[in-house]
Amino acid sequence: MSSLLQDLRYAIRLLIRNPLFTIVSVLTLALGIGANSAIFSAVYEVLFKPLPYKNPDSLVVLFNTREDGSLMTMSPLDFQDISSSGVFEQTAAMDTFTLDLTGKGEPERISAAAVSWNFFRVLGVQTTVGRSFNKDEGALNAGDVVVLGYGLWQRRFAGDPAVAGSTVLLDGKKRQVIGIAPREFTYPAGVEIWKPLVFSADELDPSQRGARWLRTIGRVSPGISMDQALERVSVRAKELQRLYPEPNSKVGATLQPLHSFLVRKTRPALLVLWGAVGFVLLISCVNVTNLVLSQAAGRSNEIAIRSALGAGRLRLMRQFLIESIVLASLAGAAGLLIGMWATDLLSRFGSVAIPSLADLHLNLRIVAYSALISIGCGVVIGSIPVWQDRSINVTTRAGMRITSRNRLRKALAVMEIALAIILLTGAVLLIKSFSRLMQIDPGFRSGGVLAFEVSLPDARYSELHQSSSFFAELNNRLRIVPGVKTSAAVFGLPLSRGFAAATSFNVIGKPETDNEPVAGLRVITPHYLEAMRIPLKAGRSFNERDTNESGDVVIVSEAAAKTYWPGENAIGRQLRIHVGLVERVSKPRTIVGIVKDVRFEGFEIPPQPDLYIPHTQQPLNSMMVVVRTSGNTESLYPIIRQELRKMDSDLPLSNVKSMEDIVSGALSQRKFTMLLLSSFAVLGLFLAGLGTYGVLSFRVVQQKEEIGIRMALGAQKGDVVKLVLKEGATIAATGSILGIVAFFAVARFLRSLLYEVSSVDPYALLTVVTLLSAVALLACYLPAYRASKLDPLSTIRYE
Amino acid sequence: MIKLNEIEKFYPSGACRTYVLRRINLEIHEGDFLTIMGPSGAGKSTLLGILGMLDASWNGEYFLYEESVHKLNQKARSELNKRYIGFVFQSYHLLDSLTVYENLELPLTYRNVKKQERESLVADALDRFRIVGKKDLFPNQLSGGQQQLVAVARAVVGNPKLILADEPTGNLHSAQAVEIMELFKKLNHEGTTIVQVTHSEKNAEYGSRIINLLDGWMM
Repeated sequence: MSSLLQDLRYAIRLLIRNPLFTIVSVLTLALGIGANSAIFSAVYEVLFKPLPYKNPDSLVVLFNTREDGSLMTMSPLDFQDISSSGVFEQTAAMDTFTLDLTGKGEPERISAAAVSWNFFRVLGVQTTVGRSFNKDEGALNAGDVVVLGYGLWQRRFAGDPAVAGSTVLLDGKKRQVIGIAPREFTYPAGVEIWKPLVFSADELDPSQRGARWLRTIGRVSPGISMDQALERVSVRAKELQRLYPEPNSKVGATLQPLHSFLVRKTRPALLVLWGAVGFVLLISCVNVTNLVLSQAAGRSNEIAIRSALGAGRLRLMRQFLIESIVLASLAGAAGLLIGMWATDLLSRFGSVAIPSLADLHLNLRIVAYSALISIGCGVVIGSIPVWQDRSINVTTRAGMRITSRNRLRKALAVMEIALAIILLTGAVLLIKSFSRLMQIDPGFRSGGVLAFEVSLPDARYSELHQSSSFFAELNNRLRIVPGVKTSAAVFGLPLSRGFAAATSFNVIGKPETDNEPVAGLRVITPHYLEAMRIPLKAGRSFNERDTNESGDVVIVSEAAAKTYWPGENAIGRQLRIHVGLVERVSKPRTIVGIVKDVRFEGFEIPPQPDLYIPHTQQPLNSMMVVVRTSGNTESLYPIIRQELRKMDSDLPLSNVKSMEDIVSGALSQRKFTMLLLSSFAVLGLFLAGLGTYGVLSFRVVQQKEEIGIRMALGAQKGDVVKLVLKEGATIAATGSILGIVAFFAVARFLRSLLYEVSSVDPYALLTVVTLLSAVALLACYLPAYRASKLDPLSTIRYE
Repeated sequence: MIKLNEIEKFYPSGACRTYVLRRINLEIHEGDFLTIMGPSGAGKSTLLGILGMLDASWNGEYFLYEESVHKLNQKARSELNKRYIGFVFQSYHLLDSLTVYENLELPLTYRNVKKQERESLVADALDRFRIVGKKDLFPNQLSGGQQQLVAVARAVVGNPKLILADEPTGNLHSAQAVEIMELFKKLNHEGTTIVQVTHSEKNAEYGSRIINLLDGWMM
C-alpha cells in the first residue's frame, strides 16, 4: 500500500514538474471526455432513461398496417378486436385535440387527449393529487371530468391542491378536475389535459371499421414475450381480414415497444452523435498516448536506473499506469466541467430539435459515466507504452526502444488521421444533405408571414356559418391593419406538424379502380394562396363568391392534376370527396384552379397530391391564420391579440409563430445533428492535426543529429523540409486511405440521416481529403521549417 | 586554395561577447595535410565548421579558390560545400536507418548526381575501401573502425578537393586509428587536401603542418 502511495506521489510530482505536458494532455483528454459526457447525457435522457411508468418494458403501441408494412392508427372496432387477442393485460386508446381554458386569467389553448378510462392504469401512473378516471367515467353521458397536467396545474393554479375537486372552464364548458398527473408525465407528448374517451354509437357502427383515427397502447400480459404477442396480434388481424374483408382485406396489425416507438425519430441521429464523440475521445486518447510515449522516450535513463535498483517489470508498469490514471482523472474532472457547460448548451439549443433535451442536466449517472471513461482512458494510455515495451529488456539499446516507439507513434498518428477522416466525411455528407434540403422550394414563401391558431369552442360556435363568418371577419379586420398585406386561414398549414387530413375521392367520369385516389385535404379561406405566395398555375383561386350556396369547388395541386388527370386539363373536371371533415357525404366538386405543389410533411418528403377546398363549403372551428406583412411579424402580435379580443374576449391566441420559424423547425433536427457532428469533426481534425504536429516535432528533435549530418553532407534547407514533409505526407496519406475504408464500413449508420447524397459521395470524400491534406501540410510545415533552421554544427558536434 | 583573413566568431553573452575565435589568419594550399590542435574549447571544431561552411555566423574574410565565401549567402555556400568538401566526424555520424551503400550514396543524391553515375561512384568507393561485402549492412552491424571506414568512404565518394576531419580516430582503438590515418595519408598523396582536428600527437605526425589554437587565438 505504501509503495502504491509512493507511486502516486511520484506521479503527481512528475505532472507538476512537466506543466506543459500536463496542461496539454489534460485539456486534450478533457475535450474528449466533456463532449462524451454531454452527448451521453442526451443519449441517456432520450434513449436509455426508462419511461416513468410501471414495468415500462411490457408497454407497447398497437398499429394497423398497410400491405407495404407502413403503420396506421386504428379504428375503434379494430382496437376492441385486437385488444381481445388474449395477450394484453390491458389496452387503452387515445385521441389528441386542443381545448380553450378560460375563466381565470388569460384564455389559453391547451393540448388535450381523450383517453380510455384505464389509460393511467395501463401505464401504471398514479396521480399526484386526486385520482384518475374510473370505469363509470368511461361510459356515455357519465359527466365531464378531467385530469390536469402538473405543468398546467403549477402555471395556472399555482399548485393549489384544492383544484382537484373544483371545476374549470374548457371550451366554454364546466368540467370537474379529479386529479393532477405527476410532474414527469406528459404522454402523449405535450398533452396537459386528459378526459375520458367515449366512443359514440356512430363510431362503433360496423361501417366505421375503416375509419382509423385512434392511437392505442397496451400492456403485454406477464409471461408473454414480445414475439409471442406480435404473433398473436398478427393472427388476430388475419381473422379480422377474413371476417371483415371489405375494409380489412389488406390490413394487418403489429406492435412496437412503447419506448422504441417514442424515440424512433431521434435514435439514429443520437447514436451517430454518440459514435462521433467516441471517435473524438479516441483521437484525444491517441494524442495523449503519443505525448506519453514522447515523455517515456526521455525517461529511458530513469527506467534503466529504477530497473538497476531492483524495480521489476510489473512495478515499472504500475508506475506508468498510475501516472496515466492520475492524468486521466484530472482530465475527467476538467471534462466534467466542459460537459456541464456543453450539456447546458445542448439543453438550451438542442431542445428546439429534440424537445426532451429541455430537461437535460448533469446527474450522478453522467458523473459516473465520465469517471468510468476517464479511468478507461487512463488505463489505455498507460498500457500502450507498457505493452509496447513488453518484449524489450531495460538493458535493450536505447536506439531500439526509440525505433520501436517511433513506429508506434507513427501508427497512432495514422489512426488519428483515419478517425478524423471518418468524422469529417460524416460531417461533410450531413452538410451536403442539409444544403440540398435548403435548396428545396417548399412551394410557398415563408418570409414576412405570421401564423397563429384560433379555435372556436363548439359550445358557442355550433352553427357552421358562425365559423365561416368569424374567420371572414377576422381576416377582414387584420387586412386593414397597417403593415399587413393580406390575411387568410387554413386547416393544414405546411410543415407545422399540426393535424392534417387526407381523403380518398372519386374522379367523376373515370372508372373506379382498386386503388382509390387519395390526396391531402386543406381547407382554406380566400387569399390563402396569396398570403402564402403559393403560385397559381392555372384557373383561379377562391374568392368571396365561393360560398355554401354557390357550386362546390376545389383547387388541386400540380401533383394531383398530373396523377389523376394525366395529359389532360384538369380545370373544369369534377371529383367527389368521400370523407368530408364535417359532412359525411359531399357533393361533386368542380376543379377551378391548379396550384404549385407544396411540401407539407417535411422538406425531404416529396409533395403528395393535395386538394384545397373553401372554408365556406367545409367550415371548421379550428384554423391556423396566416398574416403576410410588409414588416416585422413580431410587432403584429399585440394588434392581433387586440382584434381577437374585440371579436371574442374568451378566445386564446395560441401557436403564434412566424412561418420562417416553422420552416426552420422542420429542419431543426437535421440542423442540430449537422452542427454537432461538424463541431466534433472540427475538434477531431484539430486534435489529429495537433497529433501529427506532435509526432513530427518529436521526430525532428530526435532526428536533429541526422538532419545535421545530412546538411553537412550537402543537404539544402529544401531537402530537409522535404524529408520532414515526406514523413508527414506518408502519415496523412496512410491515415486517409484507412479512414476512407473505415468510413465505408460505418457509412450505413449515417444513411438514414442523408438526403439525396450517397454515403460514398466522391465529391464529399475529395473535399475531406483536401481539407485534411491542408491541415496535415500545416501540421508538417512547422516542424519541417524548424528542422531547416537547425544549426548542423551544433547538432553533430557533441554526442 | 583557402585564405582566411581576420576570422572571428563570438556568442552574445548579456551585454558582452564571448569570443570563440579571434582574428584567425590562415592559408591552406592544395595538397596540404593540416592538423589543428589545442585543448578542449580552444575553437578547433568551430574553425573546422567555418571551413566546411556549416557555420554561417562569423566575421572576417574567407576565400575558397576564387570565391569570396564571406560574401555568399547560405545557399551558395552550401553549393560550394557540395562541390569541394567532404566531412569525417569523430562519432562517424552514419545514418542508422540507411545501409552502408545508401550512406555512401547520400551525398551524391544531394549533389544531383544521376543514378547511373551514383552507382558507379559508390561501387568504386566500396571497392577502394574494401567494404563491398558490407554494402547491405546497417551501421549498427559494423565495428567502430568499420563505421569510420565507411564514414571516410562517404566523405570521399564525391571526389572532394578538401576533407575536413574532426577527431577522426577519437572513438577508435589504436590499430583502427592507424588504419584510418594511413588512409588519410594515402588520400593526401593522391592530391586531396586534408584538414584534421586532433588531440593526438601521433595523428598530427601524419600531417604536413600543425597549427595550435588556444582560447580562440592562433598561437
